[in-house]
Amino acid sequence: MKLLSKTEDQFLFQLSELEDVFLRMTLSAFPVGGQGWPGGRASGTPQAAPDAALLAESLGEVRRDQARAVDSFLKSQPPPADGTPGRLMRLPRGDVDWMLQVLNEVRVGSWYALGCPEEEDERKYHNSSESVPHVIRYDFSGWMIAVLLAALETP
Amino acid sequence: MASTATPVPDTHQETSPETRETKAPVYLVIVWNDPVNLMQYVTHVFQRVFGWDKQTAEKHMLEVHTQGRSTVARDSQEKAELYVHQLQAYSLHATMEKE
Repeated sequence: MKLLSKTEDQFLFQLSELEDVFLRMTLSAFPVGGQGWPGGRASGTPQAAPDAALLAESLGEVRRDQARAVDSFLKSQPPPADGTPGRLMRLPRGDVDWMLQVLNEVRVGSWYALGCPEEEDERKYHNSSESVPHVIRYDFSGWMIAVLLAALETP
Repeated sequence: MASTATPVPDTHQETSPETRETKAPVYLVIVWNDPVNLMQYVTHVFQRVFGWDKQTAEKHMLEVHTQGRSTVARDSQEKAELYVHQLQAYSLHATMEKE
């Protein structure tokens, strides 16, 4: 994935065919769910907990809005040019933040689906036909997050 | 005259009932380390949520990474809950506790 241009309004990336497939596979999985850091507080101070139900409801609303944004984003992308491998991806600046949140939700959710491996090697050595989609989404979303953050910092 | 040398309780430090009622408790917002969130992503989130410059955001990110946690805010319950919500929307492991 290559950053072709950056303006005040948007980023324009060139994606290879495989990157395009992985991006759609990753975004289509959103929200993966399954994650949930202990929403609570440090031990001994349960009174400090925000209402867990309210928090879950509020996060659910955020995720629903983001799912609509993902859907709209995927439908708005230009089709591949004839004879040109890959695809252009236009990303308005205002969409970068939700895109990062979505990608990271998929990454964290995939990590949960893989059994929360602590070490990179542990995750890789447990590949199976069932886990491969999670491994791909986990790796691709992390890579994509790094690319987007680098694009933000590109002058 | 030892008794006169004994410090007299400072009545100004006593909290009056009125003060006790109006002084809101303070809450700490804590971000915990995890093996999945990328370091540069955590830095970005801190910049977005707290409006910090990159240097401050990186300092707290490294604190999370090396010490396992970082206190990122000290505020009213309402504000602390808002921060926890925002951080969790970014899938960071954030909690709050009464100071």
